[in-house]
Amino acid sequence: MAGSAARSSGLLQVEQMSMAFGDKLVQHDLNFSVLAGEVFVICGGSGCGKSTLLRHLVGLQPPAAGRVLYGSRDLYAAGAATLAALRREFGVTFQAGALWTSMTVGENVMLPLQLFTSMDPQAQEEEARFKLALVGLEASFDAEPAALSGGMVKRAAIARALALNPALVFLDEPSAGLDPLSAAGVDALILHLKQDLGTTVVMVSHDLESIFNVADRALFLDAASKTMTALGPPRELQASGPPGVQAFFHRRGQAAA
Amino acid sequence: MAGLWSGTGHLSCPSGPVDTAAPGTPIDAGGSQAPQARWSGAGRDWVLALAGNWHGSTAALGGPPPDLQGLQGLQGGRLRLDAVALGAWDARLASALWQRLVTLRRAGLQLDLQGLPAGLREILALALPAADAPAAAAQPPTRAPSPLARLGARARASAADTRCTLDFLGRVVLSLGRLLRGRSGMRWSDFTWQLDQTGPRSLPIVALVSFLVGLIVAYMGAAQLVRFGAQTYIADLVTVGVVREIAALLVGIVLAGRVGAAFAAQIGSMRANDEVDALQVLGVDPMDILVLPRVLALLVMGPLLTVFAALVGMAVGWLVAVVLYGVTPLDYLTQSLQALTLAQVLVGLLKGTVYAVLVALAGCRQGLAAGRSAQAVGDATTAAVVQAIVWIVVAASTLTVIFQRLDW
Repeated sequence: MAGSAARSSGLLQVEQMSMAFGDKLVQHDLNFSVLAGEVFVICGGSGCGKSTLLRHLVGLQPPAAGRVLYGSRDLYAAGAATLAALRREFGVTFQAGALWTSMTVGENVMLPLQLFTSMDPQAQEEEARFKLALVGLEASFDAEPAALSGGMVKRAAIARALALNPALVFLDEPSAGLDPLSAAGVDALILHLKQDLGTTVVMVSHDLESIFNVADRALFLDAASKTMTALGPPRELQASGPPGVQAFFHRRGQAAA
Repeated sequence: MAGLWSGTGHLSCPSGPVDTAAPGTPIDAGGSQAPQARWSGAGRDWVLALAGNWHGSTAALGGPPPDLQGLQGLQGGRLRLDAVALGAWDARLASALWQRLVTLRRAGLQLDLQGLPAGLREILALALPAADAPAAAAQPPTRAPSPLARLGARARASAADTRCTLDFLGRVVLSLGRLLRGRSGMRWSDFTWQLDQTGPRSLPIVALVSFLVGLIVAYMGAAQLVRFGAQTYIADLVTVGVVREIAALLVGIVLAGRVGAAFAAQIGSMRANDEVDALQVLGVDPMDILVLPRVLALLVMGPLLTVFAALVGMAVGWLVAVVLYGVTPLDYLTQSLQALTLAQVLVGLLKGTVYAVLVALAGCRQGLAAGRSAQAVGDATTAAVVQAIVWIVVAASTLTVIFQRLDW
């Protein structure tokens, strides 16, 4: 768990980063840091590179230029062992859930515990049940992922991301596609993670209600200029951000045009 | 937006124009008439008049007249749409109009849509580019690359593919090293599950293929040997052939189709579903948890299945010799045991093991390299089988030459 001393310095820092697929530039000149204990939202229009940025932050895709730093450690310059150790300190969910379909929901949550803790099987199961209960899915412990609805898969994925009590959680559109009640439940869970457990949350979202509910700060990626155009508390961006960002936070049609 | 389509639940506007330019006309004006589209005008001013009932109609709008097409370069031209006599219409008319108008608009023609019913006008306004939008950049014509360029591209792709395979093999070795040092993420339950999937479940098909091929070998060999009265030597032929070469080859080919394809499909669809990434962000090497159990399972099952296939093949040889060619059962057995040396058994087992491991490697490598679509997973499956068979054939010939040289 990150101490309050880290709050000022930033838990995660992105310096001069560019992202590209081959020759196709996605975003460039990204500079920001995520502070310990905050909920940090990455937003922007469809196709601007939000999920790609998340993949860069969790070590799945090396940047075309620039650095990603955890504390003082460079995520991509570190050796494979350091990278693997760093990754265990954070939980990640993917847009479509990405549960391991060859295991039950419970086994999905238990796998990280099996691999990286010395808990006995009984304790592992209880821990996994607790994490599933947090997202309202304790009854689905023995279900196959294929038997769950899309929203349940997303919530189960959040439970799996929380298995090792990570200090930092990355969520890719956690509430997209959920019914309003489940979405509100996910928002509440995120706030509990932050307030009660001191967890830092980095999430991709374009659900305005959710952003206003949970985000301390929002980073806005612009698809046209291929760089970040705003960073700050969502209410401030809505009131005084650049025009495109204001349009996004006011849900005005021209933002999509 | 929903109101645009008149709220009847389907894409149509049967009540006709809502704010038609001619309020006096009855609602169903022209509703019973055949659909008509007429282009008229001269110089810079043109009119496209629509009339009749277009609802459910597939009538053609007709292209703009040549005079108007000649005008396309001119920025000052104007086209007015007139729908006074238009009856009911639906989405098909909107689509047909858009196809005609979008090219004219891009060429700089000014469009006056005021004469259209409100629903049709708004739908078109939504889809048509803004009047001042820059014309879409002309796509440079893509020329087919020359044969030389294609050859070069093929060579580069093939080199990249080889590098990818070598990289994969290296990572398998590292993963194996982690396992030996007890620092692997491999789960033994995955390994035993794979053992069950690849071994016992392959027995029926291995038995069938081995039986039939053994039958062919025994029969063909016997037909020749019986001409010299040497049918007792069917035992030598079948035993040596099956144990040393055929059993291993059959097991390799059956596993390539049954197991290698399944490996590629399993791992490929896990990749498409981000499941492999989910392992990586957990700090688990997919090599440890996905590849190693599969490779080790076939490493164990390869020789066992080879023994089984050889036993089935030898039994068939015995059957053919005894039942069809009158060799006494004991003669056959004695002859077999004389022909069979330890070296032959070991060569057969080694080959079976090598082929099985090659199948596992090809399946896992193609699965991990698969793209993220259903089509890509299918391609990976095909590639896994093809690559496994190619590797098996290359290994078979290499090993045969080596063992001949060594005189084993």
